[in-house]
Amino acid sequence: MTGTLTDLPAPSTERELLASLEAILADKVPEGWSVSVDREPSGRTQGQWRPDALLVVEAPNKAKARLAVEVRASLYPRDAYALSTELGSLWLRPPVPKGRIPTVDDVDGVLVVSRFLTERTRSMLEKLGFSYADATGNLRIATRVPPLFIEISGADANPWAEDRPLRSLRGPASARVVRALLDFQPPYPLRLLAEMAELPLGSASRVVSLLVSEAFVERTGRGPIEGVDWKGLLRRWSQDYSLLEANRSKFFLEPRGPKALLARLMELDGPYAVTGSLAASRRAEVAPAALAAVYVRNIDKVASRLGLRSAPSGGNVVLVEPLADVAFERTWDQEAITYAALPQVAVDLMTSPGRGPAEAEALIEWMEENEDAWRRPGSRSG
Amino acid sequence: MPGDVPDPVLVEARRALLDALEALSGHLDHIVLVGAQAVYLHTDDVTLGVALFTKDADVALIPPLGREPNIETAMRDAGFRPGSQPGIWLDEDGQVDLLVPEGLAPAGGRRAARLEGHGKGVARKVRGLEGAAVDNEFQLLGALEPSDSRTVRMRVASPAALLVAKLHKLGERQEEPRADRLSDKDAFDVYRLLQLPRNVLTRGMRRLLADERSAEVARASVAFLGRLFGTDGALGSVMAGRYVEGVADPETVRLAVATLAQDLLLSLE
Repeated sequence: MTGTLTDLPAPSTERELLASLEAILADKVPEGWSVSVDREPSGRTQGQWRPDALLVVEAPNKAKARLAVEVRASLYPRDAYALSTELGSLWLRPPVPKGRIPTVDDVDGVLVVSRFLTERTRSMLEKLGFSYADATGNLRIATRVPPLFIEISGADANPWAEDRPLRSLRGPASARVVRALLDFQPPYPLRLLAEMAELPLGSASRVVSLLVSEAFVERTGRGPIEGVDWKGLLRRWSQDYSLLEANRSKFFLEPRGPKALLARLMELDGPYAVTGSLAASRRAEVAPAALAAVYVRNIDKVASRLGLRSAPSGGNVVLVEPLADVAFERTWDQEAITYAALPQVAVDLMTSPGRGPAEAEALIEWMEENEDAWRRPGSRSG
Repeated sequence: MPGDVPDPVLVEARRALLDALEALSGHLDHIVLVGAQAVYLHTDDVTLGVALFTKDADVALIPPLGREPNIETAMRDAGFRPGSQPGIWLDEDGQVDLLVPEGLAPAGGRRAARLEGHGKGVARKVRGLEGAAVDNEFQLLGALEPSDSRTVRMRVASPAALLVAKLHKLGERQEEPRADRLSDKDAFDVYRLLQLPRNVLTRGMRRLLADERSAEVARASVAFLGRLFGTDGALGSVMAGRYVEGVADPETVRLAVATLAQDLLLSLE
């Protein structure tokens, strides 16, 4: 069942979620039961709260329960408590205290509908006395008065996990997609972008959706990616990413200065990529580097290999373990030294201390005048 | 730095040096370039992002010198006039200091070197330059302005000899109670020299320690090195850091110069 769900777009609006609730009820409710959903409930409930819909369930024995329906596009375990505080007083929760009557007439419980409810969320909702349904087919309707109980299992894992809207460019997937968008000149279809970024289509799609919504990427509907505002995208990336905060990094002292380190990088076995001022100075007019920034896979191994002394303050070398391996990709060599791709160098400088941001500007100016030198058309060989 | 347009002051300093060398060409085999110009010749590719700067040319005269040409006459003929102190020669835009290593100078005189056959104030005695007589090598020097095509093949003091000289300058100034900002540049020059490959400095220092002409000042300079640069909080380290304030991170320079000093001291043990 879930195999087919993944191919469908995730229901996210209230209307779509209510439609999926109706579909599941029609499909799953045992014979003899009848259900109906009133999408425009009239004001039957007290106070400010109006349910999103009203569900009436009738058992074969004619016992009838009315449930207020609360639609949530997504619901996490922590939200279950908040929901309980918000709506818990509307109906009688188990165990029924003697002598108490339901707070709201005509409502015997609340059913929460969401796109997908994890097992933990479901069990919390159950403990808090909610009924629930999700678009993958998990359904539980339980009321004490009248006593009704239906429980049906849907998916255990969220088939639309990737569709949770992305809000930041912090993670490794964002780094991969942003780098691909910067390194490769559109147009290309999303599928090719995902390939070039070496990511599942869904992951690439989330990042692209965010960037389309923020107008850094041009795309019409599901068509190809038509354009990228690469300078704007660099700036946008730098808001969520930072060389020293997004990555693991450690400072060292090279007493003969940053440049002296370069000559010794050839001694390394593993991959490395020089970023920051040392890389920028190969292209743009910048002052001699005060800090050597080098991506490596293992900071401690490289530091001991190069005999670098740790210098938590006053260091002039920073070794960086990148959050995404893409830092080692699409590098360029000059005089036997490997440098990080220029968009990577630019964002690293933008988010570096000291002269970094000014040097980033100088580099970006160079990149603007020499776009062909660092950007290539999208292709499978990547 | 290579490719950069040199500072006009540096251009003038080199021009004055070439003028003086032309005037003193008869003594060329007894002349060794010392001071900042020599330091920069060795450390040109040690890129630090800190501008090279010197307004004068320091030249060591290694006795015994011949009587001809007469230094005073030659310098005056070349357009230099004596400055306020012995050994200082000025022309319109430049200054040349003629210096004699104290340990090698003929007896007599307090600050002025008594060079036989030459005027009393033509050169000044300086302690710490003795290494320049022991460890130097010929280099070809040219003018720094394109219109000047002169080149001179002359002796240039080795990095170790220059280190000894700079450490003496700093060590002695520190004993006079005057560790002023002018000396910060000398402390930074020590850092420039210490960045050279360690085996170059170690070999040079061993040579100076072993030669009787320079052994005493070399030993003293090792002590100065430990005292002034042995830790990042030592006076020389702090001065070197202060020199880059606003241009680079003083703390980096303090840590780096102290690290290099420790390395060199260790390799000399």
